[in-house]
Amino acid sequence: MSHQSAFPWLSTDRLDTTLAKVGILASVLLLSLRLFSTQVLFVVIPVTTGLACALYFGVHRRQTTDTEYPALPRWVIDILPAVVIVSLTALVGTMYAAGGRSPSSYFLAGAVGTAILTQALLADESDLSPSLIVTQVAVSAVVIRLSVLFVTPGFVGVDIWTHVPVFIDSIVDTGSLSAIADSKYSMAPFYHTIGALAALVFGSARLGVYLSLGVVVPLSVLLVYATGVMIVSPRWAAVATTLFAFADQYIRWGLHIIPTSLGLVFFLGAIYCVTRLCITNERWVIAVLMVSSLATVFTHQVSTVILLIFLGIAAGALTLARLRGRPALRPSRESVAGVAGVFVGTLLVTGASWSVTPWYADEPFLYEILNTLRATVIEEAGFLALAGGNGSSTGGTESVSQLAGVIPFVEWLGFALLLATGIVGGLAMLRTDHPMSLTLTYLASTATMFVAVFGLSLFGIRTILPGRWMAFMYALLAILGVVGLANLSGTASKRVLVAVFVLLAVSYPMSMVVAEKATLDSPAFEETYPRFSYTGAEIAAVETISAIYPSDGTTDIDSDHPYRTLFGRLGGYTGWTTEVGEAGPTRDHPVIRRAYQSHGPAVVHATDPPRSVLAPMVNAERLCPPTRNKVYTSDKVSMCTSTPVTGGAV
Amino acid sequence: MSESRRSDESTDSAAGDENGVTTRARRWPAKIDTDLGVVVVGVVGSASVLLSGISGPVSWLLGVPFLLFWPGYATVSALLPMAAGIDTRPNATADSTELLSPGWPARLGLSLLLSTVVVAIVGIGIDRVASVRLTPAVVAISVVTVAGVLVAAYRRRRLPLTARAAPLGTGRPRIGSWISRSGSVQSSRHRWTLVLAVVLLFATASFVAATPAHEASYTESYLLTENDTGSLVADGYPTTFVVNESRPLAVGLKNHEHRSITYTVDLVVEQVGPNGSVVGQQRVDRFRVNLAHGERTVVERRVYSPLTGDAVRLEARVYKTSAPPITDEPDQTTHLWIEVVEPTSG
Repeated sequence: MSHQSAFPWLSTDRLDTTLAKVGILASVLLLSLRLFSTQVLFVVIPVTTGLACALYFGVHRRQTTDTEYPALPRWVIDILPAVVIVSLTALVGTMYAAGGRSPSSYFLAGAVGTAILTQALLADESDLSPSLIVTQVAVSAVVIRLSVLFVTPGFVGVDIWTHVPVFIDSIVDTGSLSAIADSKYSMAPFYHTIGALAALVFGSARLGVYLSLGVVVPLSVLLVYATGVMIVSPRWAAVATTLFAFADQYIRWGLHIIPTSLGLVFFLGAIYCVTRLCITNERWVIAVLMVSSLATVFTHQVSTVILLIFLGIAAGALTLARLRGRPALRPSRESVAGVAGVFVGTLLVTGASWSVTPWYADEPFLYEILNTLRATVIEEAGFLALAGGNGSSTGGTESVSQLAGVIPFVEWLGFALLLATGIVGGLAMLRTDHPMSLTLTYLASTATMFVAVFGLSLFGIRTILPGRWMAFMYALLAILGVVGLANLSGTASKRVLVAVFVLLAVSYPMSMVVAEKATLDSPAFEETYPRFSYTGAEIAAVETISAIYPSDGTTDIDSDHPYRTLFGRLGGYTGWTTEVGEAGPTRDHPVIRRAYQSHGPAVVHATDPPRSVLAPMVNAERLCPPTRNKVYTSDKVSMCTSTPVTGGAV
Repeated sequence: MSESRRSDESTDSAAGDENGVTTRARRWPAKIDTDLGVVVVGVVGSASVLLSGISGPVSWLLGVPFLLFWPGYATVSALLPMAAGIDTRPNATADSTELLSPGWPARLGLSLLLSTVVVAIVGIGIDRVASVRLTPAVVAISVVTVAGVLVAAYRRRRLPLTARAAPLGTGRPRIGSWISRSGSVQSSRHRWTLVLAVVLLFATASFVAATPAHEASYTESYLLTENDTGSLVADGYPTTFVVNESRPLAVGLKNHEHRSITYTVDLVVEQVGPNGSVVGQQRVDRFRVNLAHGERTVVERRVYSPLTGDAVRLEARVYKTSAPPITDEPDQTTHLWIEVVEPTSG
């Protein structure tokens, strides 16, 4: 019976439907934030939340009959695995022929995702083969990532240029981990150690990282299936596996393979263990959870923070469920003690490790990071302090394309679908008979990460690198999402199910594989996002210039962003973004100009007024005036230096 | 909770027994578990190949499972000696939570995860006692993996036959029957289509891996001068020349054109007027150099300027040919700005 209330439609008896109503109301209110900011997420998140809550509320009373589940004919389901493999073959072939990604390779990657999701979502129960679907997912995940890595010269991303050519190569050269002793990885050496051993086995650091961590990261999607199948049926676990494998943020860490990538693998292991401990009480699971957690601490700091939050919430949820949960679904004492013990142990090891980890300043990492966080909260935080944050339509630069305003909506469609299914799943979890500890852990963890990614960014707090959290959150969202889809399959009408499944199968992979973070090497929207990979000529220029213009570690050099980062990491320079006035560069630093600046959305700084501008909007002769010496050139890159002879003008 | 909690992917039938493990007890087998045998053979074979110095695709094919799978699989097998999808509760009661051992997707995922942990710990260990080199790394990973296999074999033997994890059975490998069991595509025609597609993918991937990708063709050229320590660097160029007095300058070239090229380099001085127009020019040097693909050279010359002026451009014009026609535009140019003065008397 409902309680007497001033708002009778807000019943506490049915928390799921009450929250759905609140969600609809909140989404309308949140839409008003769009008036204060151009952030596309102020549209995407409220609309997605509102639609998901409305969908859940609209169908929650129904009970689907068996005949209502939409299914494709068996021959279609049977032929799709071959379609997936042939598409992957075509993908490899086209990328090899084109020397990189092209529109056809994006389409093929999306088509592979669609073909797999179609099997998982639209196969009749008797035709369904979860193991075959998961095999296709694993093969696709590896092929899509490795084909990109092997056709791209050098590396994809920014940080990897420090981790592999500097740290791992140094370890291999010296035969000792002392090569990273002065970095913040001195107490987190797992990634570099694995990379170094793989480099020894495969003959080069690049090949070593690609054939070890580059394979482990996509294959770790198996842990999503293993986790999902403990909560939902194999069909939905296979769907979760596919959703995660094709998520842009997960693809990102399979291309830009850095300690975050390995931290994500360990996090997936931790999710598996915690989920299992919510249901069972095996000691080996506690042992594996401890190993995964400590491995995270010894791999990557941001991943450690995310893991600690997840473990803390899980420990609290298990404790609460032990005290208040339904007797039949209470977690065992061993499980509660196990998760709490792992949390405390990981916290202590983290504190001890960080207190002796060097960072940029003299103080240890723990002190410095707390100081930075405090300074951010006190000095920088402010409501809607969003510049440069996630979801900005053009990254705050002057755009060269009118389409730039539409592109984020295309990209964020995949995220919106994942979020929508996750919201439906979260509401469904509140009603179905999952253990309380499991429900609390998933909902609270996902909500906390969501706040960390989007909520704190709203206040300008980005010290915690919210972009790094998204892939971790996606893992939980994918599992919550399939709880929602499983729930819908039992409540929604056939027409609704067909609409949802077709939208998901077609739009999700297509949107995700063209998103900015999934295409760092060669953005699908090449006029909007810069590529974070380099041509052979661009890499050779850094190597040659660093040889003929050696840096003492503080030598300045200017170029566009992101090319300047390559000079910083591979060349050992202090790389600056070129600052250009009406007459040319405003600083005396050598300027590196590359052909990409003529057409790609690389960024330079302009004065009067000070702002970031896309390089194609600046005349080439302003960036590298003929009045400077031109002391290096290839067909694609040149270096010009200031000279007292002309003083900048002839 | 869904039906999945009842079984990840059950592979063995189970029934209760008095030993606390709800499976049928059978006599222990005499033969070694095939999967563990495969791990030992794989590790020893891979280690032999890797230590023999063989590189290329063979080392890739053996090295990937050596680093990513065998160590973790041995560890998971030691941790989980029981078969997938069986009830392992020592004292199961009707109202307690169901507790089935993990299925093979979980074991494969955990094998990958634990392989990375084992490899990382081995690497840190050998860094402490030896050095991070190939031989100690391969030997240590092999030893740890084989130790894991021994523990797994011991723990499996403490379980009844039907309760043991043995994905490939015992004794002689029966891969064929294992594959046919795992086949899920229903019709024979579709199954063969899938097999052909997989063969096609493998062949394409092999071809792509074995054939270097097409790379753009280009040439690097640069100007260098000698610094205080005698090194040739792209910094501190001479800015003042005395007319007709030569000074050292070096031109660097690197060929990335995927073919051998004889380059012609002209050194030209240009008098530049106030509006940027060239009011006089003269070639002061020409040399040729032949470079194979990937080859680099630095040619040291002495250059002079017969032209005077506050802003004289000393240009290095690079032609990708041994005999450039006189009207040809250079393929690349680099330049320095110099001031050329008359000699001071006395």
